Amino acid sequence: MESQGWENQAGTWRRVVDAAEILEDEPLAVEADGRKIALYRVDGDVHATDNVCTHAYALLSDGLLEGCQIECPLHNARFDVRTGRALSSPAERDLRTYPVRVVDGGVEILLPG
Amino acid sequence: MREAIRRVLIVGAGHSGGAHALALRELGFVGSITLVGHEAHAPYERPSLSKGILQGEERPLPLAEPWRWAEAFDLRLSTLATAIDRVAREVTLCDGRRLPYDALVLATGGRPRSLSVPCAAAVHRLSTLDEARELRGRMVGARSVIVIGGGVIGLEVAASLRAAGLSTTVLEAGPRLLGRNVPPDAAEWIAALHAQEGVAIRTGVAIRAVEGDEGGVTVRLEGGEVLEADLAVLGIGILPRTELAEAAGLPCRDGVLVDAGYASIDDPHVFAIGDVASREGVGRQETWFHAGGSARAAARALLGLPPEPADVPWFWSDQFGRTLRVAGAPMTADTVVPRGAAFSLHLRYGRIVGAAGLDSPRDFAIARRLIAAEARLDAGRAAEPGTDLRKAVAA
Repeated sequence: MESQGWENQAGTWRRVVDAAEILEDEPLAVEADGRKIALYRVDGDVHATDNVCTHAYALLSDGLLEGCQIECPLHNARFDVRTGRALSSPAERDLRTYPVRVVDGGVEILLPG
Repeated sequence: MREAIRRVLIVGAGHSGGAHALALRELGFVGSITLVGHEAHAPYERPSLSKGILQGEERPLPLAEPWRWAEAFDLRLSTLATAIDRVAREVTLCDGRRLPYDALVLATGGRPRSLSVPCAAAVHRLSTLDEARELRGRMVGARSVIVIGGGVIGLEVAASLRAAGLSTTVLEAGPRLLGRNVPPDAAEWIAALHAQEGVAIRTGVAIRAVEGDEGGVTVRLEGGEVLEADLAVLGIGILPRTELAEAAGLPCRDGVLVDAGYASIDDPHVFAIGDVASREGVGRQETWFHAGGSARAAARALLGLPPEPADVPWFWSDQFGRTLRVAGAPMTADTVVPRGAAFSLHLRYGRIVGAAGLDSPRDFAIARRLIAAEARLDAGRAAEPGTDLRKAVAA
């Protein structure tokens, strides 16, 4: 199991997709508990953020991932997918991120509640 | 400008004026920032006027939360600036007050262009939130609409009203849709989309007069044909609001003439941004991207900061749930490379200068980067939709 040190956080781990389905350069949209979530693979690791841009309604999974940065397909706002940090205008608010772990070849994300 | 700037006055509180104010604060400017706007609303983004607002959304995207304007800016709404005194460095407002400035930023945008033939006042225009809400109100109970103008705004309005169930006709004077800023292949994709959704598109139409009132509109064409509808909307472009600048003797030619840092070519204390700015060698750009980009570039120049690398100009248009995106200068291309049914790369002397696509946002994002890099493309590989565009760069 690849651990990223999230074991003590409250919430529920949900398996959302096989790890093999997440390719470098190709963000993947999933839904869990009614949340739209985008998954990214950067240097082998999987990261998860809210899939909807914090500026206007657009799915980040349709955008271009370069290194650890996702660019929104609508207005080109960029975020760091590891931290959710908003890196460029027009986004002013950071993205929510979710802890991720890979268990038996499956990607699990920690959802609150 | 070498002397210290303590007071920035922005005339025009639209997207560009608002973005400029925010950019100045973000860059650390601590002096006073006054925004004067003729609309009653705090700065907002305009794209939803022809889409979301007509489809029932309450309000457009604000540039910032309302409390921020009160906290860090002097925002004066429903206020017109009437004169600039460049010697005293003061602007006079409609209430007679005079506001001094160290730097004046003109963000006055444009006003909708009028028809050159008689046109009834009942014809809707769409440049402000209030106008969009008025049209939204009049859509209730209306069954048909004639949209005059087959450009981006006209077609977005047509798509919104068609989606709301109105019988919709678009009249375009030119030989094809989107003739000003969209390459012919992409205009064809949009024409096909509208035809599929039941919009009647007529190009090469000469209008003799538009008559009518709130009860209905009659459009008389050259040759005698008469068209009738419950509503009519005019969207044939804008004219830059340069009256203030011209009266103050600032050089203007289809916009206020500015340098690469958006300063007037004749006065380092005056800047112009957004739709009203005409950059030397580039001209005017009426896009969401330029409203914000010019606002930030001018903020850096005004504060004496080095410019950031310029991004490739681009715009998008949402119609019937699809998104058309156009980047660069596709109209200057000598070769068009189709990539699938609704994406194309536009080359000049083998280098990519433009791109257009219906949806395909990721290909478009890559194409924008290739345009910025002036990349030489292998047309054969670029034409294969399955090949990553980055791998189509010629050695």
